[in-house]
Amino acid sequence: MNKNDMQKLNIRALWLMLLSSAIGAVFVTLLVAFSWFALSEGMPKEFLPTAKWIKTLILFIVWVYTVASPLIRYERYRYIFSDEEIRVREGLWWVKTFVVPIERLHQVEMQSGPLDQMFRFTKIIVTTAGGNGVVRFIEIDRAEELVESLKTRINSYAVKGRGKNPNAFAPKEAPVEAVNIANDTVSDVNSDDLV
Amino acid sequence: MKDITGVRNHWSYILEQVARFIWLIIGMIFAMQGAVTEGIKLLREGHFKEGLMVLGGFFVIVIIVAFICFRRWLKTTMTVRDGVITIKRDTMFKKVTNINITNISNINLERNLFELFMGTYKLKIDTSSTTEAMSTDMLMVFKKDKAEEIRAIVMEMVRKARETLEEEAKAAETESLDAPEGVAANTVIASPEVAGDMGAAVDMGAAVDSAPNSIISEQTFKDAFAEDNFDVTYNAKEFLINAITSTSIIVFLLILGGIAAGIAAIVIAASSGIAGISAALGGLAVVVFTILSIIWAQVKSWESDVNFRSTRREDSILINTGLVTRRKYTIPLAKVNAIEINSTFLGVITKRARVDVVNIGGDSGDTTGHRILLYDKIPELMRKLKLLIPEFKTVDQISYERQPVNVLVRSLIGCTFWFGLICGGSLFAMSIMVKGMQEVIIIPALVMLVIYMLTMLGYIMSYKRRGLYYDDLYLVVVNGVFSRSIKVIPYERIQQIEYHDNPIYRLFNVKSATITVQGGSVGMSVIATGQFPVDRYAGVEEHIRKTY
Repeated sequence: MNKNDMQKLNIRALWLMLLSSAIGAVFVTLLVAFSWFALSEGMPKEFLPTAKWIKTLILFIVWVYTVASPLIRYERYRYIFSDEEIRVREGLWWVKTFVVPIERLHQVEMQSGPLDQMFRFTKIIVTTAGGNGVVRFIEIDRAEELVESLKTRINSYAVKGRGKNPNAFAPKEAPVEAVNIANDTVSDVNSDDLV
Repeated sequence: MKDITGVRNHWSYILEQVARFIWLIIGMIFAMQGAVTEGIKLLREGHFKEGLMVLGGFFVIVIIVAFICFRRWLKTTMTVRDGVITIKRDTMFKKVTNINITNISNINLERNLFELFMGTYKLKIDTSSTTEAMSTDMLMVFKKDKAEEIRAIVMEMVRKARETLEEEAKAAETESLDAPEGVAANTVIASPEVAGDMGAAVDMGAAVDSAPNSIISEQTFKDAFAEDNFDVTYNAKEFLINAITSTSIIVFLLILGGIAAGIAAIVIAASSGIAGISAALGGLAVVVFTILSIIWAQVKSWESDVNFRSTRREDSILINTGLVTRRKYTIPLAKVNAIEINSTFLGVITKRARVDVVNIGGDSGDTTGHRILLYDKIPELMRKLKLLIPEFKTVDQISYERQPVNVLVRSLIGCTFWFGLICGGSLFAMSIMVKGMQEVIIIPALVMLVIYMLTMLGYIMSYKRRGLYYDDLYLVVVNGVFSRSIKVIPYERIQQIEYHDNPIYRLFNVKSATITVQGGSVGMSVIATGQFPVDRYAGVEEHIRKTY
């Protein structure tokens, strides 16, 4: 599997990211404004110009981040649901790629908040015995198809899994022990000798 | 079989959910005591309009909470169909949870005091997933009869599903037994002279195949401990060496540091006279208590290793250990997800290590429940490990790949930059804001310098320790700073991998990974690798894919 097989998100996801980011930025702006009004009264006059610059700088950084981070995250976000595994790549500065084999899945969940529903998106949370992975910004119809498909494949992997050697440390090509029932002796035999 | 479609929680679930917010409501009452008292007074005097206005905010929140809980009850349904249990919550934050019947490990009925009063039960469904180790995967509340009915239906579905899977798996095995080209591993072959007994041989093959899935029988467990016949035992000298080697250097340093702090406190207090000594007694008591706690924890750790013995029976490892608190337990190999070969700082110097396993079970946070071999010289340790797990291919002779040199160089440069920035800024700020600081600035500067040197040493040691190796059988991850931990992970036990990179990593074509296996005290064990070339991980993934 290479990068080119992985899918990009629907363009609507970018608008959702921008809106979520903007909501956060509005909160931060209100917080900064409130702090400014609370603290500026008692601040020594000589510090006021510096404090004003700091406040402006913080707001500038916040709003640049608000606009830039969704663009970068959208461009970077890739996912694929292949026959064998789920792979998602996302992030801004730190880029995270998680790989979850479908065979290891125990639980599949869909979650969508009010903003997700507004844009008709949902997120799929897949859970293994050791953790979970989240695939965000999937269209609801597509997510339902994927979840149905995963449910069927989880069952088919359960069939294959029953024949497996549960002792994971035993090499798969271990010599077969041949029991000579007539003479009650045991010898190691390679599988080739049995053909 | 009866399907379960669109069943809701019992209505009392609304009250239980509202009660969860009771702390919020109590907190509000305390915060708005004055308003609440005033409002109640007004209501008592018959001024209902004014009273409700004063208490309005409080009532609004209670009503909102009740409405949310009612809506959640109304919009949450459970369906069991086509081998999948689905719980759907169609509220503002939609959630649809699906669990395949085949993945269910537990179905329990529980009740608390309120549920006892209401005549209801909680139906709790769990899978082997340990992401929600401290909570339940699925939970619904029903009237007693309904809970038992649903539980019986689901258990019947689970039983039927597992029978179907067993039959299908057996059919697949039988096909491969009949095939002339090759023979599946784990098959017992009768000699040509007793070809007539092929039927018996096939049954034995089936028995051999199914035995590894079960923990040893209770009789075998009792016999093993009664006979006291263990493959691995230790003498008194070996216990003493284990006790010394297993003690972390941090413990030594903490005890020494505590003693030094105590002495310094006494000396300083004594110079201030009797008043000073009395004032210092409180602080001294804390220091003494802390040192004693550390020593006690260490003594308990030593005690838990006394009389340690281990042996292999069928497909489990039996352990008998402890002096005052005797512990006997088994670790089924089927539940072992990784093997750890650990060394403290002293162990690395004296070339000794011990072996722990990563598995589900043991007391939470109790690593003794995962230990299978005590500290020993490496060759002897590997010999003993072969006795317990003969199938295990030992990893002591493997050459691990180190991280590229640029990783160390970048770490040192980054550490120097950030330390310079933070420490320089702190010293500058201190010299301006704290009166008289400029005369004694050398003391905090020296402290920061010592911390910087230790951090740099840590990065160098971490670089020396970190390693990665993989072959057809295992992935081996080596970590540590002053101590060392070698984790051997069979590919089929790897649950998921997460990679991390950033623009600087991409410039050097490296990435790091965290590998998750099931096990440990919180249900999952996350193993971090260092920064290795990107193509190394592609090789690891190839091996994992072969286990599907």
